[in-house]
Amino acid sequence: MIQVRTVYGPVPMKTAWDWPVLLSYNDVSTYAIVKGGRLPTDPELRLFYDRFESGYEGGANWGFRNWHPIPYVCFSVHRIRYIFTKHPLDLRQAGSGMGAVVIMAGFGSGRPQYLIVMTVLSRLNSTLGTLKLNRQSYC
Amino acid sequence: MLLQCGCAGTIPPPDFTPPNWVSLSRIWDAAPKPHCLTVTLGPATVSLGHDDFEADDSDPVKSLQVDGHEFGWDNESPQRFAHVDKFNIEWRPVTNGQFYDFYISGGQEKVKFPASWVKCQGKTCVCLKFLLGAVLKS
Repeated sequence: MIQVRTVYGPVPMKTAWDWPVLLSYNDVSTYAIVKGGRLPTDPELRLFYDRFESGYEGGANWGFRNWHPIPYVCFSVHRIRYIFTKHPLDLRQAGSGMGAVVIMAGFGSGRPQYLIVMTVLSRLNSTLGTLKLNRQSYC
Repeated sequence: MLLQCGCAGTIPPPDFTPPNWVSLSRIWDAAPKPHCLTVTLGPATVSLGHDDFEADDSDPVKSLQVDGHEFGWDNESPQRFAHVDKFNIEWRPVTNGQFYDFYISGGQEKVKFPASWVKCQGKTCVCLKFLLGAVLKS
């Protein structure tokens, strides 16, 4: 029987089924090739991360939110992603005035300052005009 | 995030209890899956890094000009651009489950047993010392 290692001790494969697998480069590369693909290059991955919010619902698993891996999740289509390409927005305004929920602010050094707000479209209709956002539905 | 204690003597902090895997699994299983496996991106030009020269730090004038300046690690400077051709990329990283299916259906001849997994015999997991001493048996 195969289990997956965690800081809590091994957990059943079923529990860890949807977690990202931790592998050596060679083995994940072999996997990708067998599946008919390859691993992305650094610029390709950068493009993906710049274009989409790639994380977990409720924010990335950083800052010891969890001591174990967690699955990626997909945001359902009625949720809309807004990216503020600059950051003049007052977080308190975003949080209260528009019914938006700020889930993550990305501060990668040297990257554009993104403020990513998840919300439900219907609650934002009245304020869309003032925000001028780059609106994209996600997968 | 994913560690194992292969050495003796590591003691977990007091009151450090494992999460409730059963209820977590229930939440994860209920999460929506992507409708499609991949997304097509490119062709595009990607900017990498930024201009934050180390030498400017000791310049009496430039070191004080911080408006609009991007700070970063020395190995991220200067900014450069890379061309990316059109490509399809999966939305998700490879999961334990996907790799497990691959591994047990012929993959084990092509890849090594992942270091992040452990083989168990019966109810006993071998070759591992546990941070919390508790083994979750399936």
